[in-house]
Amino acid sequence: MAGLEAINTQQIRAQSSARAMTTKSDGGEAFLGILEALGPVTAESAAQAGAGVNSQTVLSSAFSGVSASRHQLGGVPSYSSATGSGTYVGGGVSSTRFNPSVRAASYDGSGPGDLNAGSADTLADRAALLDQMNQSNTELLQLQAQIQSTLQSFNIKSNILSADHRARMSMIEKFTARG
Amino acid sequence: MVSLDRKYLLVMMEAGYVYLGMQRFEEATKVFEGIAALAPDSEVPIVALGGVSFCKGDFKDSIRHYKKALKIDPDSLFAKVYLGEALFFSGEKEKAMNFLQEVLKADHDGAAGNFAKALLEAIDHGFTPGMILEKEGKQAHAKAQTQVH
Repeated sequence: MAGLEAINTQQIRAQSSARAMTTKSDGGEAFLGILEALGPVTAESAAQAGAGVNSQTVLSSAFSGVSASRHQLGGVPSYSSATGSGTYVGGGVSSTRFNPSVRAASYDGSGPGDLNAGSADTLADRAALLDQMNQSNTELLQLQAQIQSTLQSFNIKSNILSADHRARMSMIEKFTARG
Repeated sequence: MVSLDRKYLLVMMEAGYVYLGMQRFEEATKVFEGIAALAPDSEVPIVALGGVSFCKGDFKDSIRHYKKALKIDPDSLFAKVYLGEALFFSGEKEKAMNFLQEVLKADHDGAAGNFAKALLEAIDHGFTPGMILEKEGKQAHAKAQTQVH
């Protein structure tokens, strides 16, 4: 019978780190694409919930990126406080939720005046978030491996003890039968 | 020579295993030695004595008992499988595996064969005596023997 392959947690961590590195380099763009695709859906949900056109626009712009929001707002910069979308500029929903400094910056007037600078911050925030998610996933995998290993160990010991018990029972029966 | 019906010896065997389960090794030894004196033709009480030594962690003495049991009954599968176990725990893996495989071959679906199979599986999975003894202690083995009832 072939032995089970030993679980190498170091290897799992290394693979996960490699994945995280990839995410840092190109995953941000993919993530932005997903958020952008969510824009119309969110706006539609807001409309169905009875929200005004403005809130629909805000939500949509939060998810669909700078260019889309600019188009929807008729050329008004999305970071303008007049539209109420300033809170979400650059960071979108996710980054403002996880990075309070972006929210603060957009209120005190010293917020990201440069559109490109805001996007870079966003990318960094999202990459950090994805990195955190990857770390959590690695920890989860390690825990699962530990649980599996413990269960296997317990199962083997349980089998031995159970078989031992049956053997002793059988031995006593044999002892009695001989009489 | 005092002669006792086997059914009384059976009760005594069970009493011996109760003592063993309680880790009262001296009492268990005395009971099994008494049974061995009353039934000198049987290897079973000698195997039980080997079990007491095993639970005490004295693998050499348990091996001695199992070998003695094999002199009484050279074909005893119980003596062989427990000898295999004791050899494995004393670090003689190859010899242990030979005995265990022999028992498994001879008694594939029986109790001794199943015990040999369980031990062989543990060895195949990379278990070492230290892994079992460190984590479970000898108490686990003693506990299992309590379950005889």
